[in-house]
Amino acid sequence: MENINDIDVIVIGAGPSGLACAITCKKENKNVLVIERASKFGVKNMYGGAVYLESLKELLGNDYKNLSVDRIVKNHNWVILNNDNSLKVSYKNKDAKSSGIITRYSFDNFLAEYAKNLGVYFANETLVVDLIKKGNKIVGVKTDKGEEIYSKVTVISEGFNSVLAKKAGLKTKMKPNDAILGIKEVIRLDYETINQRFNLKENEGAIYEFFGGIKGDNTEPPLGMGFLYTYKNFVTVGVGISMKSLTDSKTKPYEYLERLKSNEFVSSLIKDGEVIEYSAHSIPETGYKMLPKLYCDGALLVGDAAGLVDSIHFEGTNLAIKSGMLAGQTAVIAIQKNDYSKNTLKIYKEMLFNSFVMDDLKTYKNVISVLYERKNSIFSYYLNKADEFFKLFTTADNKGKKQGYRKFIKAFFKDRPIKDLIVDVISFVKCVINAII
Amino acid sequence: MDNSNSNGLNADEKLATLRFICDNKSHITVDNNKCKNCNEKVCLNCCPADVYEQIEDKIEVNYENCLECGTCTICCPYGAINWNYPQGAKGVRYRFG
Ligand SMILES: Cc1cc2nc3c(=O)[nH]c(=O)nc-3n(C[C@H](O)[C@H](O)[C@H](O)COP(=O)(O)OP(=O)(O)OC[C@H]3O[C@@H](n4cnc5c(N)ncnc54)[C@H](O)[C@@H]3O)c2cc1C
Ligand code: SF4
Ligand code: SF4
Repeated sequence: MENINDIDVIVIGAGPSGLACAITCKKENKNVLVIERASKFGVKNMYGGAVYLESLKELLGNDYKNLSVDRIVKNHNWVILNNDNSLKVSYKNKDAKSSGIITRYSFDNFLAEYAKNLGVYFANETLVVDLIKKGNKIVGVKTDKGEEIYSKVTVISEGFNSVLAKKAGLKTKMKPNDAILGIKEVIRLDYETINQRFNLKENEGAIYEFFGGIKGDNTEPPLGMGFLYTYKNFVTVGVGISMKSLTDSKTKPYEYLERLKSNEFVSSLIKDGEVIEYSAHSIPETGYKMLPKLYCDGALLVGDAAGLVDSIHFEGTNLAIKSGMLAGQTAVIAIQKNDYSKNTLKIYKEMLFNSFVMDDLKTYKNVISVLYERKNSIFSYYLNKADEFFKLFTTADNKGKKQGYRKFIKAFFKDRPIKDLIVDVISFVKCVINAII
Repeated sequence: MDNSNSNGLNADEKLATLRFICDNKSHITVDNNKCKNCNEKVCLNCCPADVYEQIEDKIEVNYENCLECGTCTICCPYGAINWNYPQGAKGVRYRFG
């Protein structure tokens, strides 16, 4: 690296948020250094499996077409599992092309290669262990190799664990109510078997979301759900369980996964497949209500590190990319103005609030807490009356989801449910109404 | 655990599907003074890789198996777990994340 003394922007972490930020800054000819702890891009990262092409198009223009995904999502299913009964709502759209199924290894490498070709510098196998401060201002980073690297703006894109965001005082420690643990298995099945079993043609892909079917040892159901994504030569099956539910029960995370897998509906889909990888990664659920400080003198916080995830839809890469782009634009403005103080960096927060990222987070701000309070009725009885609800969970189009909720509320009052559920309904609807007004 | 389905694996078998580059020192430490008075022992059941183990009256940390999900530090009610990332390049490496 020739210009180590002349770095404009340091990006900590090469996930979608950090890489989107680096690409945005480099396009404006800024010197960018991305520091990533992993030995290869993407090997520390895990998700369900779908990226949203709209956000990628916004970042890369027509170059987004060079991304080669395993499959294009054409079929989205919501399945309620009740012992061995199941109710499936299936949505198939032959023309859909808004999301693609791809591993994080391939996706992160695609973005990193793109950034490299633009001229972004990378330091791999390097962990940032601390931030360098001058007074209150963050002016650079310390690495585990003992280096100190200085920059004008530091972007913290560390993802969920975000040790540094806590050190910088941007964020407080999370509690079990604020996070979901996701675990999954990658199960090998051959291409033809997948197409046959899931009724897919060529590179068509399917997503399943499972509600119920992950009972623990407690009589109370855990707050959690299951998922399945079809890749080219394997499927991923996983569960997301609220950390609060994990602390409330003796059931181990992988026992929930095994229970989901042994449900008749699910086991018929993964029958005879070989498990080739197990993995775990967490999802922040701090959302709109517990938004951390998004900026301070010299630094910006983006992506999962800032809790910018739509945990209800398991959407994060698109919010990460958008927040990274906005942080990049902010850094460019700060460099032009030669002012890296809060005063200039606050533009980032303003832009974020005017984008779909905050729209989506706002829409869900009360949903999660109501889910906690009412989880027994919702996750037991309610699952039986829920198809109306699931119709809302449609594709991500960067437009927010208010429209869908309006319809939901209409339907909700039309088929008013039985009396003793009204309390649940009222509190749930209240939060939904809150979300759309 | 119900293992009747054809691809049900126990915890050890699950971990055996993974590749790790082992760090020579633990990125996790527990303050056993705090654990002594802890009745919940949530660390023993919230971790997806069974990293925590009770041996006599002490909590031992099998940090080599850590999947870096961060669950343990969030779930421990007494702040007894000090968690850092493993050194650069060390720790778990997913191929199909
Ligand atoms: C189970 C599960 C399923 C999901 N499913 C989906 C889905 O289907 N679709 C979707 O869009 N989103 C999904 N998400 C969410 C999505 O994965 C995240 O929102 C997104 O990856 C966030 O991107 P990021 O760049 O902020 O962080 P990350 O992707 O976590 O990237 C952070 C990077 O920083 C590196 N790093 C961290 N700290 C340091 C440091 N100190 N020094 C150097 N490097 C560091 C890490 O190694 C990592 O590469 C899912 C998440 C989970 C857990
Ligand atoms: S939950 Fe925390 S305090 Fe209790 S035994 Fe485990 S590490 Fe120690
Ligand atoms: S980070 Fe996750 S895998 Fe590692 S010890 Fe903690 S709970 Fe277990």
